[in-house]
Amino acid sequence: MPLDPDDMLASQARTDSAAFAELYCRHVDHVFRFLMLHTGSVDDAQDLTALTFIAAMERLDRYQPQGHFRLWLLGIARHKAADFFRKNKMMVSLETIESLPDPEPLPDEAVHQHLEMDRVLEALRHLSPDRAEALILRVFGEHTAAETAEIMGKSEAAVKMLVHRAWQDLKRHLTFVQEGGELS
Amino acid sequence: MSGEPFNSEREQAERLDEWITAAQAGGPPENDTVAELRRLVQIGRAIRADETFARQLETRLVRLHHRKRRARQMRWLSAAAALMLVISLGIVVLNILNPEPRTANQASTTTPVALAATSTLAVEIDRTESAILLVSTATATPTPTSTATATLVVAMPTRIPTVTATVTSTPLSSATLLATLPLGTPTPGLSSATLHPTATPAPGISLATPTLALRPSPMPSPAAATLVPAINPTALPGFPPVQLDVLFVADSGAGIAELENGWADLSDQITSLPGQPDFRFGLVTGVQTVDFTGDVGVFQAALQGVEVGRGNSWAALLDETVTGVSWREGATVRLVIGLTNTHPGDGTRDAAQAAAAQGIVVDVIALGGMNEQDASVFQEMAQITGGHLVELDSSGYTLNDWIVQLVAEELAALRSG
Repeated sequence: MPLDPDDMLASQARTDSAAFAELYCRHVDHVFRFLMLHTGSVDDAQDLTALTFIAAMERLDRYQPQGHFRLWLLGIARHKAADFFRKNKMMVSLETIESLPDPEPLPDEAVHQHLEMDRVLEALRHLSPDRAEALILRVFGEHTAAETAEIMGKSEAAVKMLVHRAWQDLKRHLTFVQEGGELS
Repeated sequence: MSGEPFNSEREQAERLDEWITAAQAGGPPENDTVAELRRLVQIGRAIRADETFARQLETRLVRLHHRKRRARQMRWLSAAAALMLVISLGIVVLNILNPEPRTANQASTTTPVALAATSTLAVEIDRTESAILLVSTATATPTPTSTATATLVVAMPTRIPTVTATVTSTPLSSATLLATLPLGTPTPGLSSATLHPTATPAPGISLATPTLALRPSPMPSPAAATLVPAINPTALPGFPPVQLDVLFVADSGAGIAELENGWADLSDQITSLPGQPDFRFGLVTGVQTVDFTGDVGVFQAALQGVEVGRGNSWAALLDETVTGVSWREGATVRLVIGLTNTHPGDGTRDAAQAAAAQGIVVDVIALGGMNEQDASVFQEMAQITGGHLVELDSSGYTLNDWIVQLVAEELAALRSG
């Protein structure tokens, strides 16, 4: 069975800086997206992305190549985000996300997308941490339920239930805001 | 949300999971929920790391990776060199006890090379390495047959292309190349020998390149020598000027006093390092922060009368190094030289990771004795950032020697990275 490309790179990256750079390029957007959705802040997501990759570099020797490098990396990102929230004692306030780059900057669509993104990030902030994380990984991170379960250390059935409840909560918050309500 | 009614929440959750998969796969949405989910997926896909941030972080990570790899190599090579030294000394002892001529088959794995009066030994090293030679020298007095051993360290500092160092030894000597080590590796315990190392540029180096010169190494042995370039390497093509921000962080008055006393010499040595980088110096004491200045006189004035606090944790001191001074961007070496005479405190791991994320290398110089627990914390703190912990007492180096060595090593890392 051919070795997973990430696993090959991870093996080389223990001694090869270029291989580590390649791994970084393959996953930086994914890690950043996860942390951005968690924190709602570009600056915090950037800081945590840097800390995640530094920690990954330090722990690379302990990575077991099983084709799950991204999940392993997100596990580290998850711990970094948890440390961040423990230190800050609360969810950080949302910053404007105008600095988020848009890959296809069609003016009207970009503005609309930013507004939507803003609403979604705001609504995510009001979900319970477990539900928010399950939804972020399953829907935005595009992991399967099984992968999400592995990252979160839960059963697949539990993850599906969390995602379902998160989806209901999210819809309720989004509808509430759309109708002119203000979230606390 | 549209869709048929379900018997249980579990079934609804299963169906939602299928719809999420459908939304991520593309194709025409089969219902409103899939369409809404697809919109969320698109929003997620639009969230990407800013290109400038991603590029800068990549550069910092690669540099850090490179430093960590070199530090690991250094540990292995130090261990290997120590082992080979023991083996070589064993051979020397055997030779003394059993002076019969050695046959080719009896040659050790390190294979000493016999040197005649005019023999030279060429050692290929690159600009980030030192070469360690074990040289056995038969002396004329007091006993013609007695044998002494010595280690010669040949180091190529920064900004020098690959150079062939040619070592000329005295008659009846033999030499063994033990190992090449990353530049700056301490090699204590050297004994004396009558060696006359010289160096010549390797083929391909322009004849217009000025020659190399020798100066005494800070090693405690007259046998040790460090080859340093007597050239201005900025004249060499392909090496743009570099910026170096050095931030001294002191947790006690002792560090500041030593720094202040030796500052005139130290600033001369640092600013005359090969390549004449664009230096700035700053200071953090926990009570006072002196932002970077390129004027060594201004910095010296700032050192006089600076306030130093005791009891500052190194986590707090490192936080100040990240946020309290104005590091330069671009091709800048960001170097913290910590001077410690106390305990590190808690939280150093996170603080060091935050410093590393900003591309800051933290070297720590222990001014006095240090217990194993504190040493282990400082060691980890330095290693996270790609730096070193060195202990002044046990090294035989002065504070200025170490600072110059650490700065030179960072410059070498920038060049080779």
